[in-house]
Amino acid sequence: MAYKIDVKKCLKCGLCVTDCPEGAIVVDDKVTESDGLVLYTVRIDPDKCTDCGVCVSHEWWCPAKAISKA
Amino acid sequence: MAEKKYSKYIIEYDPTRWPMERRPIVSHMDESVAKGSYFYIMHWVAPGFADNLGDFKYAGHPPHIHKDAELLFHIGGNPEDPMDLGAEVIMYLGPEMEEHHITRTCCIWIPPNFIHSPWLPVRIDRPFLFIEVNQGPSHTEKSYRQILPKEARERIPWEMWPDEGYLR
Repeated sequence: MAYKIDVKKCLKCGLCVTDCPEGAIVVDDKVTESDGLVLYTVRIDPDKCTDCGVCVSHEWWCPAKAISKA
Repeated sequence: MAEKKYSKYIIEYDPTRWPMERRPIVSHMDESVAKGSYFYIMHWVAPGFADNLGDFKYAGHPPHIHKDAELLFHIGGNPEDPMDLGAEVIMYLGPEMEEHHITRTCCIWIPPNFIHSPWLPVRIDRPFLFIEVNQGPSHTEKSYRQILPKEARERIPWEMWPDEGYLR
């Protein structure tokens, strides 16, 4: 697997889960805060990731720039 | 005026479709208005625009992204100095909420998925034109309330800023 998620930068928005064409970014945990904000803890599933590179294909594919080459 | 062959291409703003709210909109275009059009909104920003926002630092449109790139034109109305905005607007950019003070005529380039706003006019000496150009056929939006302090999040009427065009 050629990519990694920086958990310190990740905003837990979950956008990558819906946008990864291989469905390789998966939700490990989902928390709903008191004001309704939903936060997702995500990871890259190495069995699904095909190293296609879409997740780093443009500067803000991830709005937090939390995904990079491993 | 008599209807002519190409009169359909001259389009006035329809306030029955989109209420004026507090901003005097002068044009709203998207694919529902004219097939093939991208999404554009143009409105004036006049003195008094931000009077109801109070002293809340994060008032105005909360942090968000769009699927398509966006251009935010701020056009001053001073014929002696077209680059003078005649106003001061605070704009926050990026996930770090970097603070910028806009006082000159400019265009702010917002790449796809780039977190931006609040956009907050704090001083308006002279009306200026604000043109929002989205490089996509319809409006999309996803808010990033998690980058705001929690006490600020609780003060924002989120029903005014619904997510649009993104899967949940």
